[in-house]
Amino acid sequence: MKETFYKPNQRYELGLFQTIAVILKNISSSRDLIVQLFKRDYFAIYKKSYLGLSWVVISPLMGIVSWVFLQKTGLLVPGDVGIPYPAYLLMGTTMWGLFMGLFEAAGTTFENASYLAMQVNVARESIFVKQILIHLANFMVAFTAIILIFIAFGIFPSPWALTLPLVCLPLFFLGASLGLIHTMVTVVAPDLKKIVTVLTGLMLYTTPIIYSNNVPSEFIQQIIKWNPLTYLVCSARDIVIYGRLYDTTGFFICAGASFLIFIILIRLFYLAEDKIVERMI
Amino acid sequence: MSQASNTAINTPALATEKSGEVLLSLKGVSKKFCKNLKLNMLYGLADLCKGLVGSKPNTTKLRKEEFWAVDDINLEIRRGQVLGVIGENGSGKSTLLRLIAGIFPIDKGEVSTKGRFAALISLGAGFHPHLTGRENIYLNGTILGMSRKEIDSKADSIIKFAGIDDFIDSPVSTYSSGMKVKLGFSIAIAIKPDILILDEVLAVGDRGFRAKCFNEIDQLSKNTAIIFVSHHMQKITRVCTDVLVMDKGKMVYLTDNVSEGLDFYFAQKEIDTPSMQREGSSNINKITLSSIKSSHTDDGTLTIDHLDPLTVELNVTLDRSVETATLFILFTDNEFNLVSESSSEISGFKLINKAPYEYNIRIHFDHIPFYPGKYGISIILKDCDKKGPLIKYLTAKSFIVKGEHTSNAPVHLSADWEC
Repeated sequence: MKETFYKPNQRYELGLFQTIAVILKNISSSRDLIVQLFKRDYFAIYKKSYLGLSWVVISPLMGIVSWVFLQKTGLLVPGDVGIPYPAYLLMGTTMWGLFMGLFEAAGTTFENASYLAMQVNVARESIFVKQILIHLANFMVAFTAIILIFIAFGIFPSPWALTLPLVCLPLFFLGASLGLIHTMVTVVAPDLKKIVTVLTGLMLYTTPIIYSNNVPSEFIQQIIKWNPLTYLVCSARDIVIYGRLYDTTGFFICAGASFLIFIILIRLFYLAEDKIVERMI
Repeated sequence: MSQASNTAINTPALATEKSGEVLLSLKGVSKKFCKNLKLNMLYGLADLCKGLVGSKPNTTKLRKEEFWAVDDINLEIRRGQVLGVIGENGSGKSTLLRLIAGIFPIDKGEVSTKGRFAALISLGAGFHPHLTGRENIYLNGTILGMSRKEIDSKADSIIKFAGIDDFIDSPVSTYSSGMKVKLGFSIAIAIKPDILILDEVLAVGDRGFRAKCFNEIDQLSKNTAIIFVSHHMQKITRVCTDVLVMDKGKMVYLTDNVSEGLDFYFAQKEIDTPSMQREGSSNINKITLSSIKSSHTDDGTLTIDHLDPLTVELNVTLDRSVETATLFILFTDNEFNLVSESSSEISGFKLINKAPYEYNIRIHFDHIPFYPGKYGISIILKDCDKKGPLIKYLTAKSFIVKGEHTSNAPVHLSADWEC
């Protein structure tokens, strides 16, 4: 017969690797729950929509309209990007969307689960996983549609595009890590939510996805250089369009750092999640 | 209340003399909360930062504005026991349940559970309004810990028990609240847990379904340890084998005599604050209760035995404009439900108003047939020539009935039994 013990601070007794093992075990034993929550949240969203899942594709297409307009009027000079600007922009914003989506999915873990977390002792890791899976499912639909649009317009993705899941892995680590900080901190310090909204907007402009990295300003070049998203988002875009990473060294340094940050934050999430839940009353 | 704090029980008195496997054990369990929202967030942030550097938060000491919401709870519950947890709002009942369920982390002590666990703190947690009843069975069943295969095998019996077959493929948003409760409860009991926690979940739903639920709980209780939180004492009497009274986070009374537990609770509970509405110069100046062999609690509440007599004495002043008046005495239970009433008009008594317009009225009841509990007395004085009341004196006095027998019904009807 299964025995369960609850003691104060018992999660602190586990080391880093034990924590990860427990989290993986919890996720594995919550497979059915993850599937049910995924079905609930993924399909139920579109039950009351005429266009349904099409929005996953329509949204990024609509998102690039303003940038293309600015480029056509001459107000935005993106530089030479090697392929038609709308295609460059569409792929770049799609990868940016993947990062932001992962950040938002992880960042709303507690917000999405507040009622459930207060009433039932479910493994909250499963809610995190469900959030991530929903976003990945949306990304896959949007990405497939965009590739089809590219092919229809005679732009063929590189065969290296098949490595995209691996190239996107650091994006997942960084997006999920920042999202985890966000979901934990905003419960105890809600003001940060507004600051984060401003910062993420700023991050979009400091990553060369609506323009090329050949900008004349030395200052902007330095910001682009020190922004880890430059290496992660642009590599995901470039592997599909050009079949290469944006900057191999920069990519691997940022990928390693993202992984370490993710491990540290997943441990912190495990330590803090029940303390966070009790503050959601 | 003073009686409560004087009678603190901190030992697992329940289980020591009972048979059956111990399924739930609490040793010195405590939980603190912060009264101040901003400080609460600040402490949360501090704990989060401590976690980041791997330092344990100090959970045993109270920081500024913190208090013990649950304080040093010790108890054991065995298979076959149904523990009713009662107490005023804010006494820590729901927090205790959340600690047992592992929803909140404990700050002191230890909780250990054995076997399959189901906590019904809210029925239908996770129901999605756009999904059908059938889809929600799978969703809610999984949330409560059932596998898909298990739900497959139990879906039909869940639908049958809920009694909503015709609507099972309609979205839950079209259900009434009662239908949602039926579905939620049916899913929860299908788990067949070893430990079951029920927090006021049977407060809704129609009478027939509630009866069905109680029968199901009776069946489950044979092999399950159940904790049942309710403000409805009749439900506690109906299902519980033991009672825990909580006050300000502490366990103040723990007994396997349900009637004794309820007596203790009623003795410390304020029924309601007296309130009087009156017209003109009419007034109820004084009201006293008395009986033979009666006693009084610390706060002066009259305590009588079941079937003892009761005398109510009133000093009443009537407005000069009133010609004749009648009186009603209403008896209410601790939830302000009307239990019984007595009308002077039906008893053939009227007040004919004349100088000096002041009356001493004595109302005598040969015996009070109420089951043990705390009851309130309200007085209504009516002008025979007018529709509205002259005086409405709600919960003017309260008294406690003691006795050995408890029941779901408030009143016991004496009868001559022959064979």
